[in-house]
Amino acid sequence: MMAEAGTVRAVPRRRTTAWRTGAGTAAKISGGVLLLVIVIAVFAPLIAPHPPNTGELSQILLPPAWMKGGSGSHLLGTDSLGRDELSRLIYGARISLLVGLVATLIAGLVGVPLGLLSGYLGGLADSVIVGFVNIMTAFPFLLLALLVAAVTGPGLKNVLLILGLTGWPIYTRVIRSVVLELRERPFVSNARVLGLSHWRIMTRHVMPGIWPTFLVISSLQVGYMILAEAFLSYLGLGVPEPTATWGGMLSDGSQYIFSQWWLTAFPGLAILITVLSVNVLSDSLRDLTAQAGPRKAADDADPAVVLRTYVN
Amino acid sequence: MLRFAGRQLMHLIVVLFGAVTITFVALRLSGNPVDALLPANATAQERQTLIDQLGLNRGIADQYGRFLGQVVRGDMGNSIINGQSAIREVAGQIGGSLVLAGLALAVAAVVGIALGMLSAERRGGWLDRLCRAAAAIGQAAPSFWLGLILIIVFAVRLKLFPASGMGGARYLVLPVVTLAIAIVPYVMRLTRTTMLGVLDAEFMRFHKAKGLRPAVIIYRHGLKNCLPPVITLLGLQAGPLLGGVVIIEYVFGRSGVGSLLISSIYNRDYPVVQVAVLVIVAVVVLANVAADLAVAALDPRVRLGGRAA
Repeated sequence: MMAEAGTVRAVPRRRTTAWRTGAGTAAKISGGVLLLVIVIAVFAPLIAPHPPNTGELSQILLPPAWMKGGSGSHLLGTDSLGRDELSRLIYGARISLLVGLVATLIAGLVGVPLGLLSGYLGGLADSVIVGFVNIMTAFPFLLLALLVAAVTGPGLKNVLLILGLTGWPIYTRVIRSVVLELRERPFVSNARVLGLSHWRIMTRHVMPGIWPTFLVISSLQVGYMILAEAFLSYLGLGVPEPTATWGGMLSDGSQYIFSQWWLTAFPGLAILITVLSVNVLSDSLRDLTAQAGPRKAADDADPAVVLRTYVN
Repeated sequence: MLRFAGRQLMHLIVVLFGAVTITFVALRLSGNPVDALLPANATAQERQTLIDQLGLNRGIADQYGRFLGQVVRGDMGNSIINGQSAIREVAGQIGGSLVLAGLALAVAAVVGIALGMLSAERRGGWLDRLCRAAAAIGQAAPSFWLGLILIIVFAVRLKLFPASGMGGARYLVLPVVTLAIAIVPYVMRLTRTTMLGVLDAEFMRFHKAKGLRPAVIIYRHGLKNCLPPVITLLGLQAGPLLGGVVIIEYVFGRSGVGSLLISSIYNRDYPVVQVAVLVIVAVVVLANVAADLAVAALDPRVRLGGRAA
């Protein structure tokens, strides 16, 4: 790509300043929304107007307050057991964020060391790990999660482990490609010449180089894990009732799709808004690391595409 | 080309073998399937019968060997619910699911590539911004929720399409649209990124110097050059797509492998679950191989041993 010669179309190669400030605004808004969701999740007992799991049977399937028949004490109405929809949404944020973060962490703890070993060591270890990753990625992620959930049964701990232990190959794949590139850099061979052990080079010299990539993958994974948890809970294989989860609420609400549309709309909106904020923030993070980092690994390709591609 | 196809076939066999192994591990080792398969009030005798039936009292290596034997012979046991051959059960349902998935992929490919090219061409314009915002939303929305919202809007409110069930083409519209929406953002974004790169390429400048009209340059020469990565992506989307089919069939009350899989999970119909999962994985792997072959046919660099641009 010869930047100095004229291009076919008069498009600037790099993003314009206007675009960048636009991205900055998007990042600020999504960051703010995410912060709000986190605060809501942490302080759920203080914020929720009603307890999430106790319903009044005299007040089942109330519409939101602004609709006919709605009541001011149940702003978003009540579900089929008379439980306050808003309170359950607020408590549901806890599960979604918890699963998003912890499952991503577990996936990273498995995937990063494998990627590091695979890329740094090469040879047989590399072939074995890459082969394993290829097989794992041939398996649709949600299907594998579904399969394991069907056997282990529902429960928060199971969901965390299932998503964590099925979601790691993306880390291994991308981190490996980054390490392959870092390994060829002079500072690694210099460290080797200085007589440092492989272990020390890996942990002290190669590891810091993978942080930007790690952050970008993780931030995207969080959104993906939240969606996967909703998927499992929707099918009744996630965190079981009466715990409020957005996916579970959707599953419950979708039985009333012909009359009480809001029971379907609100939990889905909560998922959408949270995941969207995470993804937009992640995109800005990528732009940031792409500008700061000297190398361009997976960041020229669209990371969302790359991730989806690897994760299935 | 033939050698390339041969390599792909080897790859296919290795990955399928791995998938069979993962299915085995997931079903046998991630917990005691007997507890998952039997109702809580099962008698000790029922438990023992099932343990014998599944061969769970044997060693792991022995179980694995038998499982592989079953897969190779194509004898995967009978449905616990109706005694039918599990393979026949799944085979009866796969056609409808493949039609659904195929239509969704075709719609997503056409819409995604078109939007991606328009976006790239008008980079920074309002259409580009709109497409990118829509793509971000499409990527963040759970597909089953989108399906439910489409039902609320187009079936319950506007009464344009049926909410659920099987039937003519009208019944396919909402499920296909739901599945396509889940894929379009990825196709669009990759097309856009690739196209932006292609627009800068020298051969494009050459075509311009040659005096070709911009539309021809972009839609003939540009499109051809940004297809290979997009086709690879479409192949890789087979996994998420079939995952989507599973839940979308359930949401729209359609019969197919997906709803069979989910009802079999609820009914603890272990042999059918196993076959359904293996069939889906096989389809995913085949789709990837097909995509690789298509890319190789389009791009000589790939089949001659280099790497796709």
